Amino acid sequence: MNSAIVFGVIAAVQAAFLFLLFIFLSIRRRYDRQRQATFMAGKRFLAEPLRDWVVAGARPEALVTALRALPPGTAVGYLALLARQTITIDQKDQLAEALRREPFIHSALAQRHSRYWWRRLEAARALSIIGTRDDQAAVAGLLRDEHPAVQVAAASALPNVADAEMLGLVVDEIFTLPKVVRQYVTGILRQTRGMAGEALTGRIENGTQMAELAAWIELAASIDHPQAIAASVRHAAHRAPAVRRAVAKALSRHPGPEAARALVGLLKDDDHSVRALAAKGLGQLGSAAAVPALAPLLADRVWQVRLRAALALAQLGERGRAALRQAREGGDRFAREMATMVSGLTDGAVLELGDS
Amino acid sequence: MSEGVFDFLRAIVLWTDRFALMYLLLLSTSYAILLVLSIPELWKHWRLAADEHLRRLLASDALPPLSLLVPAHNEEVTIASSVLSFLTLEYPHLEVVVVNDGSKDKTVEVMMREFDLYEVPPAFAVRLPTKNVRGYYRSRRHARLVVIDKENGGKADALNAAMNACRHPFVVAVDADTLIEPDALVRLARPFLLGANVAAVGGSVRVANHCIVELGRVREARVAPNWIVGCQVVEYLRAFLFGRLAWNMLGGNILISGAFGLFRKEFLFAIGGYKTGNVTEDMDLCVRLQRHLHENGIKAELPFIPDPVAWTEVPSDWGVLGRQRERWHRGLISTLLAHRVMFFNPRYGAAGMLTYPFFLVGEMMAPVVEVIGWIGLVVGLSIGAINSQFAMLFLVVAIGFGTLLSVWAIVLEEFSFRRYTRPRDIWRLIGFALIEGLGYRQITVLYRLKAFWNYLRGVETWGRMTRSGFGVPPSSSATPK
Repeated sequence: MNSAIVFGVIAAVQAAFLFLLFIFLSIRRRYDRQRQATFMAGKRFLAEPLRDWVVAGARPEALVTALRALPPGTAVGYLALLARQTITIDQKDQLAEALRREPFIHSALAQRHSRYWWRRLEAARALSIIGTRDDQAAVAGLLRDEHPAVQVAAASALPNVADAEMLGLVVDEIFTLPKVVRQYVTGILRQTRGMAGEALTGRIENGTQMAELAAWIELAASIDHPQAIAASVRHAAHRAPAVRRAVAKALSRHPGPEAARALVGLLKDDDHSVRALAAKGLGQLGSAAAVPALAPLLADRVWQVRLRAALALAQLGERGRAALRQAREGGDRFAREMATMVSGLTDGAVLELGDS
Repeated sequence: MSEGVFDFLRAIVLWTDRFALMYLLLLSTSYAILLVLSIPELWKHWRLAADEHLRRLLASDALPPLSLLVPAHNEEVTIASSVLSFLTLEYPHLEVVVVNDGSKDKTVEVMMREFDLYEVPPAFAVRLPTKNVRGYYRSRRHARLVVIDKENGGKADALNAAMNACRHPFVVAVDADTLIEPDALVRLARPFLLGANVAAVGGSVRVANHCIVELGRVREARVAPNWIVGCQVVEYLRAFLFGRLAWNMLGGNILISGAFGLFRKEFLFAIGGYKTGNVTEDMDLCVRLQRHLHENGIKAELPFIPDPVAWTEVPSDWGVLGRQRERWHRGLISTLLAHRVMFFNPRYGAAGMLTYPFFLVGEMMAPVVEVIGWIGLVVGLSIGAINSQFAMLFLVVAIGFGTLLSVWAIVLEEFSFRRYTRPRDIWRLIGFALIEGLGYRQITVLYRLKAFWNYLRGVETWGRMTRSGFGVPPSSSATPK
């Protein structure tokens, strides 16, 4: 075959491929417009039964019928959104009961072992609305999924599905989860603060391993459970900086002399990030008694610590401001510069920077 | 002309054409492979971008704190609105560090007035050497804004000064005139949220000319009817929608755009920050980063993700376009030759074995081979060494392949993120994809060829770049403002 024929064949293939791409581009928008129209019609169809169910207290069957008319993936996605709205537990139970017999829910649940993560995601979303204690194994499996999006959706099912024992398991495994999933699980655990806090308090009191302990203390602070946070004080001198950092962060949410005392102790920590967090915590607690302990940190060898100390002092009223003024006229260059920088900020800016 | 000389010339022409042909086939095959590899990557990102749960993490503490580094040089007209749009981006822990790089206009004065700045001492350790800093400023009203006023040292020097002064462990380098979509930073941080160990993340850059811009945001994406701009829109789509996605798949990305990229600061400090004197500081930085990671056995990726978008103004006349393309290519030559140790070196993994050779052969040498091919074709036709039917088919295939890749990129855009909502913009893009190979491409090849000459002469200047600003009204239909 000579080269002209080869080129001719390539050119013909190119032309055919181009033609196909043009056809695709032409029909794609039309198809999407139709799909969007169907979706919008379904949503409109959904509005009335949804209002009747949420506001007028009607049975959810009409809503389920409307959901059935949507494409299955869309219906499950819509349910996942609904699960996060402020509907009562009774309403949620009613809807779950009505949905359990629905084929589109069954087919979504059957996807939980699929090799494609977006199908497992659909299963996790379905469980977030119809899950019960009987689904603990399925939810636990999806929480250990390799894809964070699936894990996050599975976490949404926890309030319906988990009992104290399962929450304990979640707390035990939380430090193995990717950061984003951990964050999401934390948000969910906040809804079950009582049970989760109890599980955490015991674990923090008896914990020794660095990774677990740090994650538990951070979790206690995030769900704002006073007993669990108070239990972290005993680890303020833990050998691992990660634990001491977690303690410093947690205590900033725990007003009281015990927390302030522990934070003042942490201002002398060897690790600069612990010192910075302790200073930040004292500023957030508004602990004016800590001014004498904070003032020397304006001359700390690490600038992040100096910044945190200066911001904390600016948050501690007149005594703190007086310490900053004194540093501005003092002999230490670093303390002078940091005090000058922070003194120029408005109160609002100090708060914004102090919280960041 | 004697028979012997004629035969010799004929043989040279034939070999030249064969070489150009082989090169074309090799390059086409490589692009076809990249194209196929980009599909699953785009699909993956499209699914992730559409995920509701991840989008709800906007206010989450899980997002890493970021410092936005904004070098500014003579930006008095746009700096206030640009900085305000950066400060109002949807990101919970964001600091904005603006560096006035020795502007000759009133850039600093405008910022002083608009943001109520006051001078502060540096109060941090300087880790990267830079040109003399005249002053550090903070805003009384916007605690997250830091402004540095320094002597002119170029973009790389300004970015190094910003890195010295910023607080957060991750930095995003942007141009002062870049328009960032409100949720782009959250999207850019997605690999961190998903637990990947990344050294840097690249986002997409799109063409803002002729788009409708309001309050520093692109409200409606449009394609300019100006063919210089239109062809660049197609080029940007092609570069970002399948080139870089495919390199993701192969794990050897060596280019993150300087207009919009996120970096882990500790790695940038480890490699000495941005290199001054290099005219494409972004590519140089990424190549050095890849080298650093491989040479120190650090397992961290440099992924590109397509859905975080920043919009930039591209040249709308040949003069500025020519200077830009010449500079880009000169930077490419300079970077690739400076890191030639990577060429087919297994120590650098996919970056050394695949990406570097591809950039060297397929990007750097492309204008040289293309011009040789054109000359061979013209001489071959004139001396009768090749027949006109062969020449015509050769041209059709060569130009057709470029067109096919461009249309494919448009299809990917249409299938996935669909920023251009008006059908007329899609048809306009297709029109530009069809005519790009008939003049535009050949002219840019000449600019890129000039880069070799300037590189050999040791030219290190950027060349004058002019911008006309954003905000084309909907009624405007001619050239972009």
